[in-house]
Amino acid sequence: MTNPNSIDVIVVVSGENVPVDVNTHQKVAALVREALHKSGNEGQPLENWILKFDSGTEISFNISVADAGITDGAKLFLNPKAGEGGER
Amino acid sequence: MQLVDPSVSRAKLGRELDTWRQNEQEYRRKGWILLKADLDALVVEVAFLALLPLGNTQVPLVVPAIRLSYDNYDLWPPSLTFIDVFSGSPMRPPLSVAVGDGGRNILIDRDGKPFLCLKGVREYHEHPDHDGDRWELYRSAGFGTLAVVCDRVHTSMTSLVAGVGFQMQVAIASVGPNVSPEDARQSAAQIRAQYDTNVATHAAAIERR
Repeated sequence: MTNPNSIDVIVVVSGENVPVDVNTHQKVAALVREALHKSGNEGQPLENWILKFDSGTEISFNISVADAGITDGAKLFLNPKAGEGGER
Repeated sequence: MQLVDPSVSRAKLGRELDTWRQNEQEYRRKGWILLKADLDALVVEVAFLALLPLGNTQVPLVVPAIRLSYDNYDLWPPSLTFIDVFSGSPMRPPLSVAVGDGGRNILIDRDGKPFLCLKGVREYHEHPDHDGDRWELYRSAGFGTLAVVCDRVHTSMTSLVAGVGFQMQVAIASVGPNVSPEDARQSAAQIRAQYDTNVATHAAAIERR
C-alpha cells in the first residue's frame, strides 16, 4: 500500500536531476542528504549547500518537508554554496 | 595549451548540455536563455534577463550575457567572459558590481578584463590571491557546472536589478511649420541628455543596492 505521506520530488543537484521520494513529516535535511547520496556527494556537510524552489526562494533544512511547502512532483534546486573572493 | 583531448571535454560538456535541456523551461522562466552551445568550439553563451517595470508593463533587460569556454575541461574550470549579447564581442557588464553571499563585490577588474571572483570559474583559480584554493578541491561538488555558474551569475548580478523601478520618457521631436530643423535637433539632444541622466541615475541606484 502506498504511504499517503510519501511524495516524489526532483532535486536538481548542481544541474543534474535526482529523483527522491521522501516522507512529508521528515525534515528537509533528510531530503537533502538523500539527494546528495544519490548524486555521489554523500558525506558532504549540509551547511555547504543551499536548496531553493524554482522561484529562487531558499528552503530551510530544519523544518519538515510539509511545512516547507514541498509538494509531490516539485522540482527543487540544490547547489554548493558560493565560495568567493572579492572586495568590500 | 592543450592538456585534455578535446573529445573528452566535448563529451563532458555534452552531458552538461543534456542535463541543461532537462530543466530548460525552469531556466527560461528564471530568464536564463541559452544563446549558443557550440560543442566543436567548446563554447556556451547565456543571456540573463531581468524584468524592469516601465509604466504599466515590464521590459526585459539583459544583465549580463556571458561566454563560458570549456577548453581543457574539466581539468580546468570554465573560463567566463562578459559579452555583448548582439555581437558576442567581449564587453564590460552593464553593472559594475556583483554582490556575493558575503556582501562583497565579486566583480573584479584584472588587467582591464572584468571577471567574477567565484570558485568554479577559471579566472578565480588562476588569480594569484587564490594560489592555495585549487579547482580540484571543488570540481567534484559541481562548482563549475553550467547550471551552478549560471545560478551564481543570476544571484550576484541579475537579481540586483529585480524590483528596481525604471522610468523612461519616450518623446518624438516633430518638425512642424513653426519649428526650425535646428530647434528640433536641439530638442532631440535635450531629450537624449535627459534620458542618459535617468539611465545613469538608475544604474547608480542599482549599484548602491
